[in-house]
Amino acid sequence: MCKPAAEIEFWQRKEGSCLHRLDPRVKVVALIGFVALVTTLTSLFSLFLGISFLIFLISIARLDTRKVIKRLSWTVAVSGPLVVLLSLVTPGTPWYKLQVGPLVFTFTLEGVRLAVVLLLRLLNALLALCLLTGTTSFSELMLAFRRLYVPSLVVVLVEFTIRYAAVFVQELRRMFLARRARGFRVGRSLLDRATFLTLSQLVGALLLRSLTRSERIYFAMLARGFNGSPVRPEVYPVARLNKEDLLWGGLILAWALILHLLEMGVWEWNKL
Amino acid sequence: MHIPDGFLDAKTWLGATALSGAALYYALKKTQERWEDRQLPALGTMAAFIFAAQMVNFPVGGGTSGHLLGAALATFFLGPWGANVVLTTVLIIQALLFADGGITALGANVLNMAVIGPWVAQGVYSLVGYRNLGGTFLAAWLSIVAAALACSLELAFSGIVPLRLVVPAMLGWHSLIGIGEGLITCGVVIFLKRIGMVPFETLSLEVQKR
Amino acid sequence: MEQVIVVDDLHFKYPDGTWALRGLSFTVTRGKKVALMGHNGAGKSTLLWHLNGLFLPQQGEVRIEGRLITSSTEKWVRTRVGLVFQDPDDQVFSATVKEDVAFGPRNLGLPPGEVEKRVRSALAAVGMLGYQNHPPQSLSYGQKKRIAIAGVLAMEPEIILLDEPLAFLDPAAQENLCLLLEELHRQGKSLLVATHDVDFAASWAEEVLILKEGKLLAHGDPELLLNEDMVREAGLRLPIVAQIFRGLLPEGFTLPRDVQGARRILQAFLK
Repeated sequence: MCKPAAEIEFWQRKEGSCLHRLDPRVKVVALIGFVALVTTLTSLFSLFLGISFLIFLISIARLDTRKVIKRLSWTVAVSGPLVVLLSLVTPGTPWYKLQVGPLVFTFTLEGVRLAVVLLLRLLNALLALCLLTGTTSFSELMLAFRRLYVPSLVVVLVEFTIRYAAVFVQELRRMFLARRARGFRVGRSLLDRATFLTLSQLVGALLLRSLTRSERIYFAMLARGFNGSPVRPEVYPVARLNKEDLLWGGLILAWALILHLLEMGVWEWNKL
Repeated sequence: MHIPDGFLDAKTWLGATALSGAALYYALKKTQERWEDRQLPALGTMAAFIFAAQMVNFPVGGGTSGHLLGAALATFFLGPWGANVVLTTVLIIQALLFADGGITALGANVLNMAVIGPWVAQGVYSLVGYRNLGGTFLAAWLSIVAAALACSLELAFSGIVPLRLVVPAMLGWHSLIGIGEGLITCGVVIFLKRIGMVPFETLSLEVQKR
Repeated sequence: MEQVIVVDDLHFKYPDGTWALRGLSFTVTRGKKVALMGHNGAGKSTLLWHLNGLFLPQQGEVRIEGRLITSSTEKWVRTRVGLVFQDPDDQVFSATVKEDVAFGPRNLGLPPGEVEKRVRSALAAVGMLGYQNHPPQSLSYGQKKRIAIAGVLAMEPEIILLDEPLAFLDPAAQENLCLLLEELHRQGKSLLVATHDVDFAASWAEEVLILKEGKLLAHGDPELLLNEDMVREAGLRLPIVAQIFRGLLPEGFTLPRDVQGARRILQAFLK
């Protein structure tokens, strides 16, 4: 019933490398900036350079490679088929014909190239995300978002949702298993009435529990003196950015910019 | 329907981000008015609920399955602004922690699933009311299809897929998913009605209009 | 002796029309250990919510330390009366333990240094000092319960209400909780525990309040729980140790209400 949930595991403050110690704001801005810049690249060469740089950073950060690969493989498995589909669908010069029974699939050159470009962009984005979440604890990330002017209600809601997501998912699972224990099996199509009836009951029951719980949580907040002022976390002293932060942040962004210039330069060469 | 990073070109994802940013800005104002100090427990539990509910897998046919989005359901109970905030929260978590949807594409995903989805559903509710089961089904179905349409337009504008191919493909597939969404949304509403939760608003912690 | 809680003819009806409390009247003396008992649905939780000012009485009044609970005093009430909810997941909502325990003191308007101090001492009191940066969802049920209690202790209330604190805890955790209650009692806090654990109430409480269907059935010392007719009417039972000795004791011997009492009787007979 449920898709495999990736582990949310970065609670503890992570120690381990110079990248872990960087100011989380710098990491957020630099890595998201990197992704923004690199995912608009179009040349295979520069995309490869992007990936190599990230792998280099990951090795410096001494991240667990198995976990990184696991993350990558899940997303690639989901996006992979789409990418393959695109290489079939893009118009252009035919490159490879695949015969499956009575059907003939024609991969175009442009299509394959596009698929590879998209895949490489995706890998860049995933590796950057792994780097960010692997070197920054969840609370640091949330604090960075607050300091970066993300509306505080949104940040608080994210924290709250994560706090209760596991609770609700477990309730849902338990209810699902209880039905399974009485013989329920998910049907095969939209036409299976029993399936949809049961799934609706599950979701409905969960909704009811959520709504009643929200009331009790509100009252529990009142019971501890909540008077309407926004829920704020501890006020951390605003750390000043030091040389190390600016150095690494600058390096990451510079690399992405250089790749862009490289790409433009390559085009310039081609025009000549 | 979560678009990954790299699939949209800069103009598209920047534009989408600007639009969803503006929508979120208004939504935050509106939810502050409606829930005041109860924003956190009311919207937070709904966000956790939607997050959990999105894990529900329903069969479509031929071995394929779909996932619940919950936009119409959230809009039913929270209105479009509340649904906007709740679904944005869920999408942020999915992008950040599960790599489900890209970071640069977050703006587009939010626009499709947290803005267009709820507002389309709200449009239907405004026309047919909340007690009309057919209307509820239509709201849910249309919210999925509209989001899928927006998604395909974004992909086409980015030059990834030709418009004439992506729109029928996305709409076709999501028309089926939309049926599942519609069935479950209606099922939930019926279930709650049957156990006596009418009017539904009594537990949504809204500030009573004075 | 000061009456810290005075309830007078309290009535409360839920929006759907069900009467939860019907004409309750009782007082609680400062520093006492009180067990609030009754079958499920008797009104225990509803009563607790009134004592903390979460619900305002529709009829009758509640006074805390002499002050009437009204919409203007309810905020003050919550600084004097702490309520530990039955389900810790309802109470512990923050992203980290430290933040959650700090929630109460911050709402009191205390400066950050004082908040920090209270968080530490509250966590130390419940034995969870090393867990400050843990997210609550990674904790076990018993640990979450302790954090919920810490969150209330950090506000340093004089009166502490606990709704079914022992429920779902394993025996070791229950014992730890009893020790904590003992410590709070020693500090002079007034404790009111809603429970339907008869054995616990009989051995721990100095006073027992028995509710039935929103009405006060009885109020007195724990010997009430040895009265068979009473416990049956209340939907409860005799303490286990009392059940063992029922019908076996000669004239002049009272049923024991806890293990110690039972041992004393046996020792007297074994001589």
